[in-house]
Amino acid sequence: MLDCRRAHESLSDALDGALPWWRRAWIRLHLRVCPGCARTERSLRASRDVLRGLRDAPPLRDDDAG
Amino acid sequence: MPVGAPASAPQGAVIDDAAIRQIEPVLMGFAYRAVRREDVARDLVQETYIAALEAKASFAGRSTLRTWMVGILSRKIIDFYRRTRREVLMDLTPEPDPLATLAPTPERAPDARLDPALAMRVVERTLGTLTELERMAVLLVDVEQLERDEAGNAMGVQPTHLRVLLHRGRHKLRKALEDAGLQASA
Repeated sequence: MLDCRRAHESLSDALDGALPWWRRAWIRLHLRVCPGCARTERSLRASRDVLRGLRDAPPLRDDDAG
Repeated sequence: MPVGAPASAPQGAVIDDAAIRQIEPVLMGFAYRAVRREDVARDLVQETYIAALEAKASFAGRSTLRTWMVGILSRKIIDFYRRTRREVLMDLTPEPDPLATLAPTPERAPDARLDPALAMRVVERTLGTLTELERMAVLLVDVEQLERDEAGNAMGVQPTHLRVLLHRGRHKLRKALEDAGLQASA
């Protein structure tokens, strides 16, 4: 659980390549042995991809965002 | 640097009306996502044009013009947040239970996929529920794809603060997508 907590705290930094190499290596290892954190990391990456897709898309107005 | 003041402009190509007109939808989209009000977004974009035209007459190129103007607009938006005082800008108070939003993703059907249109709607809606600063951090780093230091400068926040804002905002969005039943495949 402590390892998962540490991993979760670093996943956002990992997305931006903002971690030192030893931390990146530790995260990579943890994601291999922890399916829950690996799923979270995939979801986080997927939501970042969705956000990137908004860059040139007109915003949905609040009344039509559903 | 005071909030609202443009950073020094890159050197190169000229800002003209055509370049500005081309970038207007981008700035309007960014401003609307940040403040969620059409009238305010329009005013902020107008102020951005004036600040940009007053600041410098030369730019390095189209993508740099966009980044530069988004930076100016961001300072206008942060200034608007401060004026309307809906959030303490230096608030670094931890969430009541950090693990509540960080709980490991539950198992789902392995064939569940992100439907792009639905995922976009969920993300747009959830952006509106983030705090203003979380939203700005996500818009600058993930939507506009600025480097963290550029985003921090545009928002006038320290790197550690930006890191917290990104962490919170991204996990809220991630959780919203999961709650909607949208799960990234392996």
